[in-house]
Amino acid sequence: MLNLITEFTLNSRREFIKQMITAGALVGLSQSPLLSYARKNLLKLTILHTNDTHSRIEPFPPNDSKNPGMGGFARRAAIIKKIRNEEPHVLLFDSGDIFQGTPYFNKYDGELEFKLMSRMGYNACTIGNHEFDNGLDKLAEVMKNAEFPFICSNYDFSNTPMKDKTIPYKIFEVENLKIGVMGLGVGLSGLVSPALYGNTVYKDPAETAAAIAYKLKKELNCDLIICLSHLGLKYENDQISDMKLAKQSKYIDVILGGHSHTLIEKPYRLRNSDDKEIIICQEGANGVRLGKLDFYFERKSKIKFAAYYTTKKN
Amino acid sequence: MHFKRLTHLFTVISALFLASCASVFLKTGSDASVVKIDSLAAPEDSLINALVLPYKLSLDSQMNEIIGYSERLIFKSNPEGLLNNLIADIVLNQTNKKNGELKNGIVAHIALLNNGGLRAPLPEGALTTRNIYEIMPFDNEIVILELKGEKVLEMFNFIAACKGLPLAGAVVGIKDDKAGKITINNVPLDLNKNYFITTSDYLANGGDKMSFFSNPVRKISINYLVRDAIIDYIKEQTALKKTIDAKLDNRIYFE
Repeated sequence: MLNLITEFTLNSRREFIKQMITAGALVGLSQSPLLSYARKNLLKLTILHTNDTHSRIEPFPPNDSKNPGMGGFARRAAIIKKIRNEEPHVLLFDSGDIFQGTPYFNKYDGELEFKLMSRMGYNACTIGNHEFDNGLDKLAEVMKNAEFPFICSNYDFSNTPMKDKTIPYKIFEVENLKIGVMGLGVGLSGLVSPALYGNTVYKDPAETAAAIAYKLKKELNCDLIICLSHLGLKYENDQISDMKLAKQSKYIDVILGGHSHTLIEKPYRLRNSDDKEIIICQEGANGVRLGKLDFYFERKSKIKFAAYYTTKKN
Repeated sequence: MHFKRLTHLFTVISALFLASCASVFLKTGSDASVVKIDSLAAPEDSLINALVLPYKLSLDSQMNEIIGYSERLIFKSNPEGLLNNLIADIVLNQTNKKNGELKNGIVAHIALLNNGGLRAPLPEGALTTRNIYEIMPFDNEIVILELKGEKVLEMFNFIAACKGLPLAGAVVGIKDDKAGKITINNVPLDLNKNYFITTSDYLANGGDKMSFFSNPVRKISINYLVRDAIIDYIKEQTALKKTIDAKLDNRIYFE
């Protein structure tokens, strides 16, 4: 954890004060009035997210009973563009089930969804159960239209046509801020026809998430850990859900959820197993909402540095 | 004296420094908001629309055909629902019509589907092919399963535990999350008899954890998509100058 141990021996008062200021500049300690000048500025990171957009390329018709005139990729794209112009740092994610719901998918197999999402500048997505609907051969083929990575931590596709088409996690860097992103898929048995998922191996989401979050936090030094989840918000039975995952987890900061089509107007702010805050969001379905999360960070030091001091008493 | 105090202060600062070196950034707070995607939020992005256009034109020519008229908005609910009843009735009706055409000698007694498979309501007024694709986007095929009476009882218990599923050909009461009174075509369920259940291949193959469908006595494929059955039924009704309607008839009720 401490990458570098530097030893200082201070011989004079002048040297001592100089070192103290250096230390203050590095950490931005606000406790000391002497060093308050070194307090650093805030970094704002905006996370935009969608889930379960279900091939809803065009807005709902004006006479729709639930979402009249709402949604549509063209309008979502315009809103995203506007936010990118207003905010310093924006990342855009989708939590799966991009496919299935309108004839656009039946006729074009998801090609248009991926092309448009690439144009909108999606940074990554995870894989929902409906991404399996045409089988893995076709998914692997149509993914060629996506210019963003598919992050999936708990489906092992090694013995399927999807081999090497997904990554278990990805780290995004924004001005030295490291954002680790993982993706979790829902259990396939009983949900997706075995003929469609083929030799996909489903790994336990909670265990996988714990191992990857540890790696992202402790080995790869991420400052923020995001989980793109297609597990669903909660269940009456003991099936793993975002709620359960949140309470068990240790290092995940935010779960961007999906699958249950839940519209969470105000995100859940729960306590993880270390009693630290973990946020859960989900934006209903069919692309009628875009979630926006703004994180604020205090920049403490740009240099990974640890100092150890010995002071000689005069 | 002054220097000693500073030394003391310095030791304290060193300790704080060590403790805070684990992360370069400290998360200090977060705000969340939900942006409604409607005409007030933003105009449409013209570049995206330009990309969509060729796909849209090709689709519209296939999807915008008016195939019938609906008397009302037909939507899902529990334990029974207008859409649940309509689609289950259509699947049972069209299955047996197809059986007649195929002359396979099978008559399905019951149709069972799942709530999750009905993806949109049927709107009031003109119905297009697109509307049916949105209700049933999946390319699920109709299959008929011959089940023993005890498996059929399991099925009704499952329906009860789910607080209702799209069902046709039978009436069931729900009592304490279990099936109460069961009749099939007005006759009580006979555990010593086999029944023919028409459903989707998705459910027959283990979808939605309908384990009673596994290892049936027989599995009969009729090479007919659920969606095509719905489209055919609506077109047939239109040809007969009939509109589409649905009603609740207490086929699933709480005892």
